[in-house]
Amino acid sequence: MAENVLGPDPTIQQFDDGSSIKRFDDGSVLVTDSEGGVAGIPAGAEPNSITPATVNVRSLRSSGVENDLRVRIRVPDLYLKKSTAGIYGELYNLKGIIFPYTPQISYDVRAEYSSPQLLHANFPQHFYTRSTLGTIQIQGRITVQNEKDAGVYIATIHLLKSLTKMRTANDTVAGSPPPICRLQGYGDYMLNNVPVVITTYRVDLPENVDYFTMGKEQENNIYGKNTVPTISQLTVNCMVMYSRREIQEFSVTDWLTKTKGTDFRNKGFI
Amino acid sequence: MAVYSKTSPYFDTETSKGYLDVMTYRNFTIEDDDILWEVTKNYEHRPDLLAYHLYKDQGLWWVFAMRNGSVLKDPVYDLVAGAKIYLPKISTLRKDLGI
Repeated sequence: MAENVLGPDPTIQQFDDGSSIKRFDDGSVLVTDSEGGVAGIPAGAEPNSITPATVNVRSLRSSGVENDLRVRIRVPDLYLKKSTAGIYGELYNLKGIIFPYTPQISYDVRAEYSSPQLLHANFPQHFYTRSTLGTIQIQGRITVQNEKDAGVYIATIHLLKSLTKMRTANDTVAGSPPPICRLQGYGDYMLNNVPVVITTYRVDLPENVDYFTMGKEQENNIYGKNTVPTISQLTVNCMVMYSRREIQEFSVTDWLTKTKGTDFRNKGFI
Repeated sequence: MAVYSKTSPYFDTETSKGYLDVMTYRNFTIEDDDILWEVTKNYEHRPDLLAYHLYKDQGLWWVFAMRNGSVLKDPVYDLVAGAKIYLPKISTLRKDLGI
């Protein structure tokens, strides 16, 4: 290409990225981008295509719930009957209650010391008395968008009702207290198979959200016609409940040395 | 007989005895996602420069008037700073004009 014998055009200012500004006599400027196109407009006026979002869905049925690290309260199969399993048996497949969105979980572990009021002492003395576990509070969000979700919502609430009641007079195992469930979530060293009982649960029926009425599409579903909030909070408080044998099997040495996957780790000590 | 290129606004217009017939407008698809752009001072009255910078072909100077008939009644002198016009996509022009 022949060089410009007059040298570079003094009215054009070139930048390192290839863009340029040309100044005209009337004071106007022409800004071009690095490709020589119109500044701010893609080449060929082709709008930038938006990459569609992708969602990775993993089937719990095929992969097994063992690998599922979401927060879950596993309940005995005895409690997963027709009305607590969901329209398509979702809760039965999950073996309990699952929190579809990451819930807020909090619990406290305490080592308690007594401090006797010593006479004529300049400093206090503390004596170990016991270690205790506080209540595990789980607060999660539940959303309902269709009949299936509504079925899961109702099954979950219905299951929680049964998990907080004892078996009485007409039950086959009358006198049995509410069952011990297993709290699971986030992996071996987080909440792994913790034995819990449900002490309280709180259901929110907010006034400022839409409600979904199930039973319109499938009138013959097992729950009939119900209206449930499309978005709500579910709070469950659990109390850790180790059996006497489990407590006797506890060992701080094992706690320190036994690694993941061992029986000791699977006992759910916190 | 003159032969107009595919980028010319007269490509579809008949000629007879060396004269152009009544102009046959060239049509291309109006897309919903065409970019709306405000004409800047440096492109005032310069649709050819805009076409060159956008499509690398100054012969497409007339497509802005075709796409924005209500704004650009005159393809050159109505292209003034501040006017908001839609910019047809090069892919549309290639497809519909065969360029």
